[in-house]
Amino acid sequence: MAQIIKGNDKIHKKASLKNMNNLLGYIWKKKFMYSLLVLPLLYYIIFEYIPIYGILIAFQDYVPGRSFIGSEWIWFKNFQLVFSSKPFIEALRNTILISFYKIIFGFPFPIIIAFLLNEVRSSTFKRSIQTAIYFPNFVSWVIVGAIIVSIFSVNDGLLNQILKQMGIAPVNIMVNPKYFRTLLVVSSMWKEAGMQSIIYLAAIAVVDVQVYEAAIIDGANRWQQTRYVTLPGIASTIAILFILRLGSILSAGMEQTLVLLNPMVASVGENIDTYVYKVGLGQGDYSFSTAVGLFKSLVGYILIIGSNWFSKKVSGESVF
Amino acid sequence: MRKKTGLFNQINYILLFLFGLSALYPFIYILTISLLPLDEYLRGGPFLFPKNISFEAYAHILRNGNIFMSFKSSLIITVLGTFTNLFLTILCAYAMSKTKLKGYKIFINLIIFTMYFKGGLIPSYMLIRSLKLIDSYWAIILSGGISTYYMLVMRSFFINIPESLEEAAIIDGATEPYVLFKIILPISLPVIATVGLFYAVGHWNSYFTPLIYLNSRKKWPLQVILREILFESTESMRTAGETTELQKSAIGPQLKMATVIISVLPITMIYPFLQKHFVKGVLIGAVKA
Repeated sequence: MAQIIKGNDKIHKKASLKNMNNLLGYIWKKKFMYSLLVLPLLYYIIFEYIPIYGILIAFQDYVPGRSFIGSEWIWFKNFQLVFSSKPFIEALRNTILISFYKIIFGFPFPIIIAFLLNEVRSSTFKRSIQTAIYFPNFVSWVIVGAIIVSIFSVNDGLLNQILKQMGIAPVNIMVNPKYFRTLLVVSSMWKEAGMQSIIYLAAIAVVDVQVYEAAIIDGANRWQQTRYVTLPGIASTIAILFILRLGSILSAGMEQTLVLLNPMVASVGENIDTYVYKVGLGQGDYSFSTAVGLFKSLVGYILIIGSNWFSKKVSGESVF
Repeated sequence: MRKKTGLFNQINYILLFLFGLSALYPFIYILTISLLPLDEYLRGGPFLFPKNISFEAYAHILRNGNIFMSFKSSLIITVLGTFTNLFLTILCAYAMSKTKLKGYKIFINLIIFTMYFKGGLIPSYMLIRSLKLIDSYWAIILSGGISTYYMLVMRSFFINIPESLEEAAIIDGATEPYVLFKIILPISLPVIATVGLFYAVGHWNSYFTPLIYLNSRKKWPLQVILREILFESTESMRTAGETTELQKSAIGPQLKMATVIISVLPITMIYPFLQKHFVKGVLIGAVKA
């Protein structure tokens, strides 16, 4: 009995050595492909995974200058501090509200644009409108911010100039807490909806022509065709994009907010990203702001996994 | 029935026209202001159609020349950055298009995970600092080395290239490097151009990353300098609550608007090329989804 086992051991050992040799041989044979991966993987390891490892400082009382694990471990104390911090709660509330509005208004808008564009007969008109609405996407938020100031500024913005001529009192939008969130939502729609409509246009274009023909034979008019053919046809695209959009619900806009934010609207405009920037790089409280960042990444991740699972259950559509 | 569709069409055209107009008009307005003579702004009133056109604002800026240093910075970052991006992205996308490669599943999952879970601002900053890259252009270039999204788009494209193409070449005796450089890349020029353009525009427009990683003013790229020029006197206006004539002309609106126009010019010039490619690029990305 023992001898047989010994024999098996030897075979087992020989087999795994052979596997090892096979593996090495395979790697050597495919060395070109693997060598292509070396630099990209190096990028991911250094610039994506090391910072993930650096999240550890959220659990410590980090002292600047030390390594990622060189400071005293205080575990969840930072998180207690975070959740009892009024500015954080404010930033969290702002983030959720602004993101919520951006999704409610900003998600359907490109879809509607795509539908409208699709109904246009004249291709010249269609192409010129497209050229116009894609453009704002390629301009930076700094520039868009300057445009917003030139139009909405209280003293000499275009809007108030026109109102003054008409004898109406000037409106305050940029430094007014009541309208600031609206400004954020509308300006991001203005900038991004054009480009976002492209995906929906593409999705509309691949809906099977035969289904349209069948519907027309059944007597459907254009509105009915849209409702019963196009909409279901692009439903999976909409679902996938919606799942992805939900995953970034805690990102209310970094550059946009940084450009437009001012002391008078900070209470309604400060979001998690700008808050992390302010506390982390501005005030130098590294572990606190990393804890906030970890919270944000975790929630975002759970949301994506969650909405993906939910969508799979309900409709069979999923991103992964 | 015909009447209904006619009305719908008209409303459709009007709505789309309004949206298109709203996308472009702000830029026209900015252009208008920038072409005003330097002393006209103080007279107030809506500035919709310029009566006197003057290039004084532009002359002033061109003579001053400070802004061109930031142009140079932006150019360096954009060129170096896009090259690095494309280099890394192409390598990664092509290797990851070989789905039968051993270890493929591990690699692709590791990569995609980073799309949804990040280390955060502070750990990234700390990393750059410990790599001694603070105040170097490389901090910006390397920290954004690969956009996983663009990499996946390119990978989709590579996957859709018929295998028979490569197989035929290998039968004819081509080596793997030859297949990549002399066969795959030339065919993939549209995707590479599209992704490259998107990377480039991203670099040109980026404000936050240079802001946190670059300390020397002379290295500040365009958007950072712009922010300073365009917003600093407005800040003081807000805290004061009122504008005096002096403050109004401190950095005159014409100058500011002319600066905006000059900054938008490069994007406007390559926009036709962008348009040609990015619709294709987004289509490929959509197919992936």
